[in-house]
Amino acid sequence: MGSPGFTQQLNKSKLETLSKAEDRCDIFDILKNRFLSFKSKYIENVEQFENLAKAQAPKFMVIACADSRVCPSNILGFQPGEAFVIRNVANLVPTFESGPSEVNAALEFAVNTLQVENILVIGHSCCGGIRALMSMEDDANGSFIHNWVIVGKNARKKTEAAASTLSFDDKCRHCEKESINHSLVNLLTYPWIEEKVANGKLYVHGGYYDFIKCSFEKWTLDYQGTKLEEDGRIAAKNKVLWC
Amino acid sequence: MAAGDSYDDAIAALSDLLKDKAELGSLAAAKIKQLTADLEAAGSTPFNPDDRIRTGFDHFKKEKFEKNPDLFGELAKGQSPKFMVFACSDSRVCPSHVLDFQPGEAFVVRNIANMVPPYEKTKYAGTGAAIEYAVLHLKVENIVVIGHSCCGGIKGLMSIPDDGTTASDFIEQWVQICNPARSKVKGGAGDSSFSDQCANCEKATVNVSLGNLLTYPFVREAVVSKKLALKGAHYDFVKGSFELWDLDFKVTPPVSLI
Repeated sequence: MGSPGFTQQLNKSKLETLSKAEDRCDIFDILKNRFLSFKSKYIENVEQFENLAKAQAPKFMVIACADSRVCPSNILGFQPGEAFVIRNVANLVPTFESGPSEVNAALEFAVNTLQVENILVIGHSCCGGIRALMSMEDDANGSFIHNWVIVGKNARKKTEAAASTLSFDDKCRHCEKESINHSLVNLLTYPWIEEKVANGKLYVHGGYYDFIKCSFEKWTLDYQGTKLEEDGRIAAKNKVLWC
Repeated sequence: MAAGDSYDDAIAALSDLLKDKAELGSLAAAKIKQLTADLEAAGSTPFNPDDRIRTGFDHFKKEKFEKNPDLFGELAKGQSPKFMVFACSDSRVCPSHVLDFQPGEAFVVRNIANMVPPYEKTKYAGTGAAIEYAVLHLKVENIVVIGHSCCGGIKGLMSIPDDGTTASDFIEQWVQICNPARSKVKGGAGDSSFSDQCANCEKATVNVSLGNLLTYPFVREAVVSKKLALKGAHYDFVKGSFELWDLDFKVTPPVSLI
């Protein structure tokens, strides 16, 4: 199931999106036809699907933003069965100590039950959540967005320290990447994650998708080289840029 | 390699055994088949995550991004999806596959068992932030909560002992958001099997989540003013079916009592 071909075959090269649909009935007719297409070309015709229906064994866990433009199945071609995916505003990962959240239940399941081999946190350009984080006043009104993006406040502090002379847009861009690394640091606060990373059973990666240039940067957490007590930063290795 | 380790010696010993005990033939065949599969797997190239996602990204860039410059040019400036979708994190149920959502069409939250917790500003701020952003900023027209067959999170919910003891750090606490669904299914279960009960619970939790959506004032307001529709759905990848239903919520015209 390695090639990106299976579900891509469903699409013609010119994408017809729902924005052309005239009304609600029209939209749901389109979705119905899409499901029937998926069913006939994939569920009914692919042998591996029967095995997949019995159990999943994804090698990736992906944490991505809920933004409609950055679905990991689209941009990285993940096929059914390949990636267990969390999506939230600004692809944030709260710490283990911060208590219940949507994210930590999914982390526990992916790492301890599914035993994924890779965690990939993907940030992206023009992220509304990061922009909200950078725009927040300290005495903000406690809206939901404020209460959530504050998970990334250390990324904002680091951005302001490192990038104080940049324009607001450039600061946001800097923070988009800083926040990914901050999420990687937060992943290590989960004891069962840190243990597996230390033993080489689990790799943690950061990724940044720029949808203006259409480029993808990726790096891997260098656990041995990371000295969090010293400067709170992760060390990275295997950095690549695809464009 | 010691004499006893050679492949030829091992095969010879097996042949001799099977001459003596022909009834072991089919057992030997099954074991050899498994051994062959294991050796094939061991001999194949190890999985390289970087290669896998590079291939995926290159394909996306060449086949979608570069062939649709108008669409991606518009998306670079902003998004205006008509949908917000809650789907499970399960690797088999991505809405971009099942409903072929294209970039720009759906603002998607994925979590264990596609649950929507009730309005709670601190504990589940992530969900609230996503709904607030989708309804107030993106002004989506539809929120769809999609459950699915063989959901591990739902099975976990149904497996929690009646005395409430939990074994996980976070998972059981999370899925108990939809305890009302579990109670309803167990209450009406009769003689049904555990797996039938789980299947019923998959749909019942979607309905609990739809009800929880209404605890968000901005959702209520948008639904009442007909700017937003709430829908439940269930994707069954065993049967190959997709069901969709509405949360029907309307204010009827007043009827005079005098």
